[in-house]
Amino acid sequence: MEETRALIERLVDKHLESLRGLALRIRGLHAEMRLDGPAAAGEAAAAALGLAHQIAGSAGSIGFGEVSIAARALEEQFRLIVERHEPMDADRTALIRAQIDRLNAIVAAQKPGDSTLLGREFAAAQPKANIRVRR
Amino acid sequence: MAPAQRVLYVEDEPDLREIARIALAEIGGFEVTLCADGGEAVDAADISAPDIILLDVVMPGIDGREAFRRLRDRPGLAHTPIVFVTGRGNDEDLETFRQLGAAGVITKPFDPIALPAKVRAFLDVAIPGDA
Repeated sequence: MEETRALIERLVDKHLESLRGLALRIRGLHAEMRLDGPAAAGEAAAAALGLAHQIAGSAGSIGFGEVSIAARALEEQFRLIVERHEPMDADRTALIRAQIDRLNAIVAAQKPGDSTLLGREFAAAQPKANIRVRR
Repeated sequence: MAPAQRVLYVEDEPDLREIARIALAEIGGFEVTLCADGGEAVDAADISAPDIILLDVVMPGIDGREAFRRLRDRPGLAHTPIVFVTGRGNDEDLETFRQLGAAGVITKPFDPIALPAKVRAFLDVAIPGDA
């Protein structure tokens, strides 16, 4: 299982680096959004929604639960704009900016050793039964 | 020893693919095929003949729902359990998955250490009478 642990350690390192880049890209996309309604938010909001969704799904599975929760909150805000066509007004802009700052701060504070995956036991489990699926 | 059961995992996020591969292959003992999108999955399923398919929902190009329909149309995959892996497990989505005929849903983020047991549970349900 040492080999498995090494694989996971390498993945955690790589993922954390990726999270930092993705969080910064969301900040950049937010800067592209203007204050004059959902149409203006357009592609930047859709792209930011995709990135927030990506972080929320992946970070938690790789042991960074706090990052995942912060990204999910942001994803919900972008979803309101992109899918429910709610306005990108000044209040929402400020809220999203605060959430982006929070996400970036959490990601920046993480170290690879903070991944909860690394504290887990990786017992090799043999398949219970090698039964073929009937077709 | 009987051959390992085969899992086809379809996910566009590369680090999620890798953690799932480690969990399913290194820890769970499954034979794993990875695909990055729905189109690739349809092609790979013909070759790998999976015992179960884990399918992300939100993907660029052919998304999970359309991939599900195409996989179901393939000869030999009509009864293969297909499990959606999604970060959006709201009631509306779950109803859509049920109507499509999905074997179940795994919610993201998932616990990779628990993933092999979840997959085995879906396989057990898919083989009534053999357990």
